Amino acid sequence: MQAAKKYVKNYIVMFLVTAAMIALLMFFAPATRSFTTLLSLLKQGIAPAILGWGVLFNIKAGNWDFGVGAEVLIAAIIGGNIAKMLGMGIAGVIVCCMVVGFAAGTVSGILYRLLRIPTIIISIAIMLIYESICGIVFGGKGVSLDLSYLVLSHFPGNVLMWIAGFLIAYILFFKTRIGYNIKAVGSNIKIAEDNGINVKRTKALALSIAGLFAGLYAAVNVGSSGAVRTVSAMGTMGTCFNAMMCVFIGLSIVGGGNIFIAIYFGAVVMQMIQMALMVFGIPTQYSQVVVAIFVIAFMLFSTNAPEIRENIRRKRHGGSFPHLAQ
Amino acid sequence: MEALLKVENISKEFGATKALSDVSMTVYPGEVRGLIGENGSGKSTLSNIIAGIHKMSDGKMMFLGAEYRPESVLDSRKKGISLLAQETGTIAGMTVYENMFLGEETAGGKSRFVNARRLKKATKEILAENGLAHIQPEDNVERYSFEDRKMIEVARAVWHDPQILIIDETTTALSHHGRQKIYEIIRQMKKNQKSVIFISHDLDEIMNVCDSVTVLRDGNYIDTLPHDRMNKDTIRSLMIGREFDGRYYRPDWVCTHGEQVVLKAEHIVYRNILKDVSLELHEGEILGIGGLTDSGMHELCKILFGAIRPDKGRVTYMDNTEITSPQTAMKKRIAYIPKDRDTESLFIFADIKDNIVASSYDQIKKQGFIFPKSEHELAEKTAASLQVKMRDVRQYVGELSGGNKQKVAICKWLANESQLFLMDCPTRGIDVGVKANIYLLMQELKKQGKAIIMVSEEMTELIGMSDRILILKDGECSGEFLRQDHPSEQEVIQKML
Repeated sequence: MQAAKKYVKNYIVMFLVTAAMIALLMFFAPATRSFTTLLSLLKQGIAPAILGWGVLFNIKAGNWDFGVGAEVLIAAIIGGNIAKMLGMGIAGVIVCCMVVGFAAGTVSGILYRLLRIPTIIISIAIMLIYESICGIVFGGKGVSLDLSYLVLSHFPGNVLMWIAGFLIAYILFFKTRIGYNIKAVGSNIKIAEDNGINVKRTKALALSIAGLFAGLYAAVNVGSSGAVRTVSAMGTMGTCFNAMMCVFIGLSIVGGGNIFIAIYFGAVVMQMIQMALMVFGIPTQYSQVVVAIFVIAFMLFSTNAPEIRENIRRKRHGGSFPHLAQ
Repeated sequence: MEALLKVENISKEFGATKALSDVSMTVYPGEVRGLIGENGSGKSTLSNIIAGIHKMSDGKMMFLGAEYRPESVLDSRKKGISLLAQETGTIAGMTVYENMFLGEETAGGKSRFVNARRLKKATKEILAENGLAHIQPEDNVERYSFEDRKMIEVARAVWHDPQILIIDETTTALSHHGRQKIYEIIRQMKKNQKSVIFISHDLDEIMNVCDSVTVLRDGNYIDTLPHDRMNKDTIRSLMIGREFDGRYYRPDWVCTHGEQVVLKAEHIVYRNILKDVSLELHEGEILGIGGLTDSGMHELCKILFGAIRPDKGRVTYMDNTEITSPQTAMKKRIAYIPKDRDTESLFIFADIKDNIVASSYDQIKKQGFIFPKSEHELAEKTAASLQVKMRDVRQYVGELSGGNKQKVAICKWLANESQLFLMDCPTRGIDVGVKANIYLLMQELKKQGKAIIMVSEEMTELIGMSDRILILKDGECSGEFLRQDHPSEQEVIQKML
């Protein structure tokens, strides 16, 4: 009973926020009131959540990695094409994309360790390099797979990918030393270092892990749509920011629950916002603005939550509030 | 008797700064060795080298008869040397059990995977063994007080069952109860023929706790005194390199302050910590506030600065402006020097200049612009006025010793010409030399008509410096003493307990 209560307490916020957002959508857009829509939202949240899980490692380690979108691109194009050439089937696509993604992330990590310059600079350079490589390899045509590969957009492929990604993320973050070291380094480098944690190695490993998830996301993308085209001029930043937004929403609704589930709900909320924009016919030019406003709203609430709780506590104690307006 | 630890001709350089020069020391089993010296004398550097945080530039160490060259803190812990650091050693944002096993999450387990349940259980046991059963392993460590967090570090250090425990100025952060706990650990280690290297600026404590004391000055070994040669004046003289004249506190015994009330707190209530506390501070007055750590005095200091909002009551400046936030306080030229300087007062990863000018941009801007030259001039002038020991103002604050960090924390408020100073344990963890500097500064500020509130856990300091002393007990004012009444320590303590 106690455990059940704790579980409910830990997860209530993320469930309620997501449910409330979906309820709002269905209230204002009657066309979306169907079980199919709900399923579709849950399904569409899978891929961005997977990338978000990888991005979380970077955020927790204190890395700024804008190259993760380009890692997705290079993993999809090189990994997808290799698997296709070797006739390895969808399993080959998944493995090749993950290997290439991990390698791409590791290159960022190695450069960070060797050059000793901030990850934000390394990641921007890496993004430009990977985008250029994608424009050169395989004739710059990206990757295109036939229908037999497209098994990751629907059940059970999508669910299996979600489970696989979740398990990898969960084990790395909660069950291995690297997850704990990442949290320590991101929270206080000095104390982490004083306790024998290799800070540079930890931050580099976080970049590699993000690359691994970029590969997994690339596999889901290729295995769902069948094609990925090359992108240039920092066009992959969008992918990176979308994943970050899922993480920010996840962090704001996580409460005492599991952060990876919260990120998934964050991704579902993001999809819901996108769907609402479509339903209400809001031009695509404005969609990013609306998404940004929602993310700010979520962060506003989560960042000020302690203050809000404190004010509620004061109200209960009958205190005066001369400072609330500030 | 065979030595447990032998440090031979150790030197350490940080860039152009020579922190240690040819230092040797031998520690024997069952010995409690004091390590003393002014701030910047090299005590922490030496202890950090022994504990594996820094690597020596030159020299040799022998531990348990074998050459000892630790790669990291973890390595030294594994070999049998644990360090209780001067600064906060727990990471906010992580749970108690994560902090307890920081860097050793898989230690003692059967697999390479982290078993959180096992860690929580082990943490619970370790905490209970150390009388900290009220701390929950899964709670975020931030939820606990500074003292509790320090005691978590103590429990972590002891859990490793070290042959040598280095205690680097830890006791200054602790209440009477916490100190007793540390002394008990020291007694236990001594009984088990294990050794302690004990660093403190409190000479009485050194005399009571240690079997011998090694004195360092400016990175050089000066002398080691056995217990029968230890006396305060000798130690002080060895530390500062000249005879200590004994003048420390204010020489006068009269309340000398103006009539004007510059800060008023009325009926302050905050949670169960403060219950209807009121006070008035006058111009040119040093008002001492004393009590036990959990008496509410530290919170009161924060409330006076606007950093905590009281549930009831108000704090007003002399022009009747209500102090509701640090911004309002700073506009009124109120300075706040917190107890925990590393986390609340200084930007550790920024340089001295940035720290000093952080609250003075309004003073140095010209037509809305801030020029690097003005920043440098202000930082250099202020740092020089308090004789901060540094390479130059571009040195990182994190590289400074405790006393010099405190000087920088004070410089920040001198630079913006603050008129009213809220000092929470201003001499915590600093040596006699810096202490004397701070007391002189307080007297100078008083002479200029500036008002000071000094929260302190040191009786002698409260009595020696204050025009008036307020004692807090369980969140209430339990007594008031005037300077001219010449209160004794006994009288003051009676009101605290």
